[in-house]
Amino acid sequence: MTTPGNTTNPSTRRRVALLGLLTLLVGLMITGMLAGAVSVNVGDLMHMLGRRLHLSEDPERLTDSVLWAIRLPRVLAGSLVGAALGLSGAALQGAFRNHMADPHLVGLVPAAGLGAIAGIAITPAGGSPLVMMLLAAAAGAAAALLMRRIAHQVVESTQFVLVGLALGLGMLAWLGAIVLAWDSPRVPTFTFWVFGGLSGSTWTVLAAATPLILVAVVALVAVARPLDLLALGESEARHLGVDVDRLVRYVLVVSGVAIGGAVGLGGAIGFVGLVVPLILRRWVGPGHRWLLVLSAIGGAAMVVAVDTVARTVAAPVEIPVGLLTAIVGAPVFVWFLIRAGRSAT
Amino acid sequence: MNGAIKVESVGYEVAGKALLDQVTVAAAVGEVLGIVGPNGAGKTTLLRIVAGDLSPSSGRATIDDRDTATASLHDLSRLRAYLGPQGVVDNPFTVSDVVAMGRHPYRRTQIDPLEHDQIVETAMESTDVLHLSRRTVASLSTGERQRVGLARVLAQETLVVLLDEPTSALDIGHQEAVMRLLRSTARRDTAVLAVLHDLNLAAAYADRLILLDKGRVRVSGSPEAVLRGDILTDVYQQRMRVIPHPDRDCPLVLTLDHD
Repeated sequence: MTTPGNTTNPSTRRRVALLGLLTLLVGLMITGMLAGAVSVNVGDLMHMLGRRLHLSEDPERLTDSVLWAIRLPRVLAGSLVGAALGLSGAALQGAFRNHMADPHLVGLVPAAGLGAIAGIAITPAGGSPLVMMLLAAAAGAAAALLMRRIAHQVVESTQFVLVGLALGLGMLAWLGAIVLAWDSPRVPTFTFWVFGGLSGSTWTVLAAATPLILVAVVALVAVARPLDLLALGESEARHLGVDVDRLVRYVLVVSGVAIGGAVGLGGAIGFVGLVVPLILRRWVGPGHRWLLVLSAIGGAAMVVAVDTVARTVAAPVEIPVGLLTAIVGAPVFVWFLIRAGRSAT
Repeated sequence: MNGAIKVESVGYEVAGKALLDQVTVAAAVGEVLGIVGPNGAGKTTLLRIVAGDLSPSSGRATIDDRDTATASLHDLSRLRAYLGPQGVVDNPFTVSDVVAMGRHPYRRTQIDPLEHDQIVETAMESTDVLHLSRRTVASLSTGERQRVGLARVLAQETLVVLLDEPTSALDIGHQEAVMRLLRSTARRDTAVLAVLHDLNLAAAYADRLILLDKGRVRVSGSPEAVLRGDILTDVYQQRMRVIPHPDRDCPLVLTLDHD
């Protein structure tokens, strides 16, 4: 069934995309570790890694602690947040059969913010970030399930997007009200809940978020094929043996887990979940097995890249990372919409 | 394996209104059973009850003696395939991807991948969509989508094939080709149950017909027995006359002016 000799063979394209994105991600992570106020070179980076992996007994350098305690957790946090956003964006678009679905628009991100604040409220100061993330996950999943009920009432994409926007802005307002009224150093600022930020990345927070996000990657890739069938329509998927309601609930809950981890790590970072799957679908096709994996890697690369720019371009001032993803993502999204509109006519 | 499909005194009510009332139908492996009748007669509802999409309010529908209202989705996916009137809805996959999705019910079986590919290719060949295999569904015409949908249904290789107006968007050549294909599919080892609007296609290719009217079976049997001028005129509220087909061994339905 594959046409031999075809230069745009999909499976070749997917492999190129996988290798390309992985290389890009590693490159961006290294760049992210080297960039910053304290100047560091590749030798310093190798030195730190060598010492940490007990491969070398060289004396400690000043740059070691900057790299280990600040920059490495930060690029890892950026990758994880981006992976969670790209992955859940791709999965939600499949589950809602709507390419405008994204973790913000289906209410996952703002609800996860509310859940995270509730988590901070019930844990003692310095308590486990895992509780905060799990509550964020539960709130996010609940909001997404509500959105699914609403999506059944409104069929049109535009209505769906408007409902998602209204729901999200409403929850964001409550979030803002709580943050402003509470005014405690334990609660991240309002900016964090609107535009995100990775400056608080520590190994403790990473340790809580990593399992959540990795489990979500595996759990979503496992339902890649049923998500493909869903593109045929809900009753068609049912006729092929897919329990559609269960599949969609599963995807929403697992996406909630990923987003819970992501919001706990980096706050609300927009447009990654929307734009990355949109671009990759054009490149590697609609099959979810590849789309999910590549969206996770692509999302990771995007957040690491944007975060590096965000903290260096106006140094010593740090720009919230979500502000830059929106500045980059919004025009890309609009450009895609216009292109899609043209090809439809 | 006679009586692949059995519908026993099925009733279906929505908000107190009976969409189907005491409907009894049976179809055996090897035959094409056509469902005809005017709009709102309950044809699609009957098809969906057989498919297990809707649970009847009374009576029961079985495929291979399994009650379709209670069988698992997985079991049903190996018992029956279903083609809606639009064939395949707009989606970003290619034609060969979509047809290969018909093999999903067999993903955990010990079937050689090459055999899957062979089945998919045969299905595309017989529905005349093989030349479209690398095109995306979004780029196809309505009639092409209907044939792609049919290919997917055939690739599912089920005992029972349920079709809702499978020829509604097709040109005359493809209409006849699809009906011939359905008949040869039935002859191999399948029971085909199809809602058909074109009474002459039904007359030429269905082994038996049931005529539904307002949720009840008005008459069933051979095309000659069902397609009668007086009955059709009454059911469709349109003067009709039935004559022997000059060339084929079946009736020919003609519409007439009102008085």
